[in-house]
Amino acid sequence: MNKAHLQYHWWKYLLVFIFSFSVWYTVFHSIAQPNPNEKLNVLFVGESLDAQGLETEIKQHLPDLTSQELQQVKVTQTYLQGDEMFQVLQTRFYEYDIVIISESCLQKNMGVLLEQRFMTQALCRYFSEYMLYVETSENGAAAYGFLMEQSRGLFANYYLGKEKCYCFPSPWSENFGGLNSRGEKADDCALVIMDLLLNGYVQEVSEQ
Amino acid sequence: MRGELYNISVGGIQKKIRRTKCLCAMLVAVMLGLHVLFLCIRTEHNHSLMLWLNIMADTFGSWMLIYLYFSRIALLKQFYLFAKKREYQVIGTVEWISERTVRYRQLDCYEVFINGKKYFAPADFIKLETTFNVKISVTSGVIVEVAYE
Repeated sequence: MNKAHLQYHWWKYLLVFIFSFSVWYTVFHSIAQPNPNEKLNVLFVGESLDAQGLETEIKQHLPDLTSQELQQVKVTQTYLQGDEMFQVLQTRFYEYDIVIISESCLQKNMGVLLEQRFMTQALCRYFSEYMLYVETSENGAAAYGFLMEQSRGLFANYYLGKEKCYCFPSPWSENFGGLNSRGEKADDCALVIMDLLLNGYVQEVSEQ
Repeated sequence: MRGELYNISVGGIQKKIRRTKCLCAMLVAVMLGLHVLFLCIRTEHNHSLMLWLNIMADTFGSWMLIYLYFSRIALLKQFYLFAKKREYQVIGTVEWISERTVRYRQLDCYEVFINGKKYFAPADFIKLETTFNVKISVTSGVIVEVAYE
């Protein structure tokens, strides 16, 4: 290789390395992400939750409750209100299996946020003892989530606030054991964790 | 005979370009094969290793492609354009040849004085020495062919 070649073209060699590195890094980063049925993400929108403690306890209980193998279990807490909450959830709701929203952050437009994908009959039946979160639109009333009781369930142990909270199972989640018309029956980690958060114990899944 | 054109025929230049392009195509095929192989044997345990092997395969392959293109194909193509034209011929004695090359019309050339006039001899294609009587073909000041008188 003569010197003149490097003198005129050195930047092309550098550019190729940088380009190659960034492309392959991005590709490998994206393929390293666990599949939807290999992760459980819970989002809490509000204040006064010990998210770390809740996450640790969920991780402790999970192996006893489900045979589903998970690579990632995460409880995220954020405090958003109004339009900001709406915009963030509208673009990122599908990333979470369960979204819990405290009353002050909740807006009466969950139907829009969930693209009018209301809860299935099977899910409503499974959690039949809880008060439903219902919104009425031109097409009639539809249920999107549940009211969480403050004195009951695993969530109550880690929630220090006084506001009411509502729990929304994601219609895109593949971890509700097929009760929301997605995913396999064996992939039920979100279902058992939602049960644990609401009840404090796990119910038997009845044949629907 | 000294002071000859390394590859004097226009057909020869075309052949060389074709051969180098073929080499580039083979290189691309090898790179693609390596990428597929590394992606196929990737597991959770060797994830980082495969990432680096892919980057290395890509980088070294692309470096070779850059080298082949810019130091062979592009030069050959440029010289081919000049060699095809052959505007005029000059007969005379080589009086002086520069020690260093200069960039002229995208070619690295030695500056050559023949009959008191400056010409450019592409370093990768033309080899000249002083005091020889030569007959050269010139295009836009670039020597494209040399014959000895």
